[in-house]
Amino acid sequence: MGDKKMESAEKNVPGATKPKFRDTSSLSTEQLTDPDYALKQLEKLNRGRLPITCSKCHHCR
Amino acid sequence: MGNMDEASKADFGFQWHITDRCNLRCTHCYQEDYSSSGELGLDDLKRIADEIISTLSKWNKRGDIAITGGEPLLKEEMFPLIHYLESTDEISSLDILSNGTLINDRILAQIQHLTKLRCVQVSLEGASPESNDAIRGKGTFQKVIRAIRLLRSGGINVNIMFTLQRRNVGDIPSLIDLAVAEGISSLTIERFVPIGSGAKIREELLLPEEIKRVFDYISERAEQEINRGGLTSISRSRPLWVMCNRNTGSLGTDTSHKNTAGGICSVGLDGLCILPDATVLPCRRLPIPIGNLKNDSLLKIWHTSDLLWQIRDKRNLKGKCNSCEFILRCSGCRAMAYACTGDYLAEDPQCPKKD
Repeated sequence: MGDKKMESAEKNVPGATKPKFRDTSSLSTEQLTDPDYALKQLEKLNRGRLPITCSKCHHCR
Repeated sequence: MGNMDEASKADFGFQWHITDRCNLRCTHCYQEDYSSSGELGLDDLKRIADEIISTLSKWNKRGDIAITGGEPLLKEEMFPLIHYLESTDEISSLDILSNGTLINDRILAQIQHLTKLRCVQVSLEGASPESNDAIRGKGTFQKVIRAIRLLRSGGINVNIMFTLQRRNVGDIPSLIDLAVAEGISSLTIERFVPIGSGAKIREELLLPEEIKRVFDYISERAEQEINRGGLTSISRSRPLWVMCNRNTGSLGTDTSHKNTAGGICSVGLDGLCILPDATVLPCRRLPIPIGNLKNDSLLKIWHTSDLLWQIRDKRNLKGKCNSCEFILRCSGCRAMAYACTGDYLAEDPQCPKKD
């Protein structure tokens, strides 16, 4: 990523703020590598049951 | 197989807006800009696709990608991009989210050649030309009905998206009838979030007690369809729907999305939204950029975005959401909280639950 060929005018997203990224030293190895880290934390809180997420319903249309 | 493995198995969802151009100007639209500025050509779209694919490969996961816009059929690169995505093992399924007005025999033939297409989604905001066209524009109802019938005749699964507003809430009973009669695979009735053009019509937001009554009605109809073995699934896997769940003992155990209502907001859990210029949002209706794939890797965005980590930790949620017993099956809509209060961690302002 960051290829110069991909430079183009960015859209103005209303309400936009500059993205903030956390220092990697503030995050655990699992947080930095496991894409399902947050889902698994919720799973633990949910007594081992996988929470149903809403991502499959295309609510954004 | 343990439940921890289930999380790893779940696909990662991308909602990819490949253009902001649209032939409609719906009153409630989350967009304000319908220009082509920042739009990527096919080579750059493939670079983004490569970034998605390589990240999924590193994660040992597969992806579901919903291609949308604007109106995605206005983007001539749409089918080449879909063919490119389909050719990879990492992409398990694709959907096309369209307004439905441009679908014709030629488009159907192209759609029928897709190998990983799950469904085509079209939008209706009413069950009659009068109610739908007042929101989406004159003549759109008939065009969308024609598109639905054409797609169905071609063996394509169709989803209808309906955005719930004060002006169209009365159409819900007849809309469900229409969806069932047309053999629609799934019907999604979603809350209106007042952003973009929709920010001008905040009066269309329903009150919490109105939301509860409407959701209860829809939930009852959804259960009727399940009990009679109907083909149409009425989606209830979204925040606040858990309030309609009459079988709370099974919360969190049913992954079919059919027999119980309620689903936790997916922000920071298993999906992202990509805009036409490669800006990444947590969700299309939460318009706070968390990176741009021209400059930031998907790994960096997903694993280090401050906003995503804030939302992932449900202890950060405020008001009613913070201590709610349904937090793991709801957590409120962060986009609705942001649109109505300016704080994406605030309680969902349409939640009917009493303190």
